[in-house]
Amino acid sequence: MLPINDEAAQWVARLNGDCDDRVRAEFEAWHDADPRHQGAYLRAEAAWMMLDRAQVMTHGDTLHSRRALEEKVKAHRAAVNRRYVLGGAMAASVAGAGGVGYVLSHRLSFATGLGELRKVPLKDRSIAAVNTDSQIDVDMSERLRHVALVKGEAWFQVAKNPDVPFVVSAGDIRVRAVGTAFSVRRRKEGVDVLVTEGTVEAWNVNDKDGRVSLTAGHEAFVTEKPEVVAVNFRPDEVERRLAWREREIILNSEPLSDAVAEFNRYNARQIVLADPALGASQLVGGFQVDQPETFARAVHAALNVPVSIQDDRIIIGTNATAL
Amino acid sequence: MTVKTGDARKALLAFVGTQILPHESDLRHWLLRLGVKAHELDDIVQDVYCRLLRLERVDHIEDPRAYLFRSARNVLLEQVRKSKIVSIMTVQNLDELGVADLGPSPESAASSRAELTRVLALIGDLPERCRQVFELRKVHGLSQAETAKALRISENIVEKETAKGLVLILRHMAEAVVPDVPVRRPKPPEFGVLYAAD
Repeated sequence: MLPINDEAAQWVARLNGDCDDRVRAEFEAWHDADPRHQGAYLRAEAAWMMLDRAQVMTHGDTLHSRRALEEKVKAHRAAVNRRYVLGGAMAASVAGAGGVGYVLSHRLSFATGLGELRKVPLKDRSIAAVNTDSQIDVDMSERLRHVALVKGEAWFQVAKNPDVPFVVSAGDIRVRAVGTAFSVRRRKEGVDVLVTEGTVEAWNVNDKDGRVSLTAGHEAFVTEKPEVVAVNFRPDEVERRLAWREREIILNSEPLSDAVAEFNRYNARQIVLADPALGASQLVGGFQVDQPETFARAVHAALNVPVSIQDDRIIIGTNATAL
Repeated sequence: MTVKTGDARKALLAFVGTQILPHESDLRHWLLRLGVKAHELDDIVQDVYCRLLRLERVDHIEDPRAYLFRSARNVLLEQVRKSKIVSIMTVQNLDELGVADLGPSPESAASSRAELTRVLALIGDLPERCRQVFELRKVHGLSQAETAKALRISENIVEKETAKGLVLILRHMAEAVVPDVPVRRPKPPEFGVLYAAD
């Protein structure tokens, strides 16, 4: 006789398949026969439902209302179903704000809108966390796992596979990993590389000798113009700069000007620093990326400067309008 | 007792799946340390889940992990009283059972990143065909019929693979501790409050 837990799993599979009233009646009889059956069935069904969480994982229900998210999931399902009905094509290409990634795709293009953060499971079981206003093009082949960071910022947790290198390209800059976790962010004149686990190599294709190696806790800025790359060991800084994965902005003595620029990456409602002299004030604090108003009010309190909160923007350092 | 349906059941399933199941392996280890025999574990754990069914609501449970352990302790005490479990050391020991040594809930269990990693790892560790079925059904949200069509196998096989996979995943959750993505970050003293640093 099967253990009760295994029986319960079978019932979950039967009831979530193509079952009729006879099966349901049979199940009810089994379920009611023993409190242990009831407990085991709850446990198995809960696990079954819990696995749905792999489907679409997003942070920030504050950003998209739950309803919008459900619509998205529905549209995603419809799209996937269509693909399978039309001959099971695996290739997928989704672009634009609100794109949804497919774990089975060898190739996919994935973009986020302003303020959007998405976790994308990749075919090789790696995970990409894609930050605001960013785009990645993924191409998984037998010999190379290649992700092009077209714009913005992404963090990768790379599934270990020593035979197939995982390479992120950002313009002329390459970052290569085997099994590790790291982030890449495109900036005007180069690329920030932050490593949270394992080891990565980073280089500019125009200067292959300038290749640097980074281990966990290290960060480097690799420039578009080939230059000597400085690698710094700053584990706390690496984690601070990756707080976006939790939809947070953490400030640890950052100048106000940097903090403002950071909020403006995520929000259409931009913060304007009306008094440039304030920009150098250093701040310590933590905020949700989508709450520039909370930040502005905190700046008002911490620095005792005027702040004007308007519908379309937030102005720090002007007396134009009272708070 | 028939299976409840509707929103209450959904809320309970979501609670159990995300707040209780991730702690089950710890609970089992704890029970073993107390002297519960391996073959008695399932009974106790099932009893604990069964008690959750009697709850009208779950949103008042602030620390699900502590709740789970307390509940298991009550089950144990009751079973000892009914002499259903004789292998446990002594009733006196049991009465002294506290839940103080449980330690804090691992913070990582609550992070959605860790959760996604955990769920994908559970699916990824399945045998090949099982894994394909779970990816289509759980990651892509396909039905059993759609999954059968996509993989060109019968619905009956999909159902069998589903059952097999769920058995494996449940066993895995009961036994192993799936490593989480470490989450470590400097936290300011208070969220949403700024300090001028000079």
